[in-house]
Amino acid sequence: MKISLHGFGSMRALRGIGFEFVAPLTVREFRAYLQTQLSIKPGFSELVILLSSCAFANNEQVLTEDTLLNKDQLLNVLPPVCGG
Amino acid sequence: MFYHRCVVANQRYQAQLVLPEIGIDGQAKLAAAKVLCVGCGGLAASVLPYLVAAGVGEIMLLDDDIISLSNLNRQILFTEQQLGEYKAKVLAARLTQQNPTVQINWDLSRFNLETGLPIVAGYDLVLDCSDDYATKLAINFCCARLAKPWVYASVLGWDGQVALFSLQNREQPCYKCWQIKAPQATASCSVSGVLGAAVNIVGSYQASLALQALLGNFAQANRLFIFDLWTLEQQQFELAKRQDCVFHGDNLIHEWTQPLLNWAQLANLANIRLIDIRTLAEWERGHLPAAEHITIGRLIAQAPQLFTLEQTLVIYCNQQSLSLLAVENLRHLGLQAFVLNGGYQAAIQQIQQQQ
Repeated sequence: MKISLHGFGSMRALRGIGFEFVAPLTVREFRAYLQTQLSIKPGFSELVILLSSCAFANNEQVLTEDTLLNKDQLLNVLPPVCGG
Repeated sequence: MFYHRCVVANQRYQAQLVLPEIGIDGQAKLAAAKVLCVGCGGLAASVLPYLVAAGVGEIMLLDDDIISLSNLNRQILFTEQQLGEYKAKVLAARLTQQNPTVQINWDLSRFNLETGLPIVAGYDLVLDCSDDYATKLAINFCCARLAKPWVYASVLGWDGQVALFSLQNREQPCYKCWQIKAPQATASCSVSGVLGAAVNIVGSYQASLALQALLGNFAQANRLFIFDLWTLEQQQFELAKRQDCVFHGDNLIHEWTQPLLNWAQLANLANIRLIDIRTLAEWERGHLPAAEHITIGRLIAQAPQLFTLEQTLVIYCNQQSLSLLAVENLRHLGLQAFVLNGGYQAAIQQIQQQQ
């Protein structure tokens, strides 16, 4: 199963990044995995912090933390935005 | 005179009266509508002229901030000559000039969890033109409690987000269902910057969603619209109610049964910080022994700086509804937070009984 990422805004740098998994995992587990992977990648430390506040969405809806990712899919990473 | 006013009104709104979605009936709905705008910065400068031009009956502007030079790249209704003046006052004067038939009021009150409920109760719709998470949470809390629709909007850098939360029943999602954790400090304009054109795009969408809601159309509600003005992408996502969201009615009490502590139990806890989140006036009238006063807005916004993981936080308000909200946010940050069962009043009674 391949999960590809499409980041918006401050998470734009994640575009094109993908990960292969042998077993299904929840959004919560994927977030933790992604944070671990990015923490060892130079230049991504700020994104690791931001990731804890990001939402994940497929192309139709924002996913809950318990949503099971069990097929090849594109995940949109929606960063927190608080300005006005 | 009445006939003259009708003719003038028809001329002013002629271009939208012919729209089948508005017409005479829709125009009457807009004229009868009362809108609360929280924040008078860039978003307000973008959204409000369209609501005023469309003939919304009454608009209240809330903001205690003054105009500064660094605002002018996006708050395009202000000028250099107005630096240092109150944004709400200047904006009200500007919008009244634009359409004198709209009643524009302004106030320097801060909108928060303590002040928000009675304010929101008087309006049909709330526009979120704020620039911080605590205020957005407060708007969400008040609107969820009162089943009032609100239009969320945020801008940062080249990016924007907009959503209409209808909140007509408990099955519909709220802001907290989706934005489960407090954004970091980097999610604010002062830290990460903001493009004026992005604010304007988001403001236009916000105006459109607000007008649709006032006309009674909620077809676009509970969807998150996202814009990336750098890549010129836009996308929309359906939002769903999170089953464990504490903003949804009965869950508020039910879900937090576990983190409730009675006054007598506090003696058994180590490294405790007892925090009073009531208003300053209430605190000064009396508070619990060893307590410290922190407003709920500051508590939510600055929790990572105020507390450590080793501390046991016990929060109280007058009863416990605001404490539940505070504790929910603190727990999302991984902090050990508890609600003082029954709040200040219950604790006072228990202390008196012990004596």
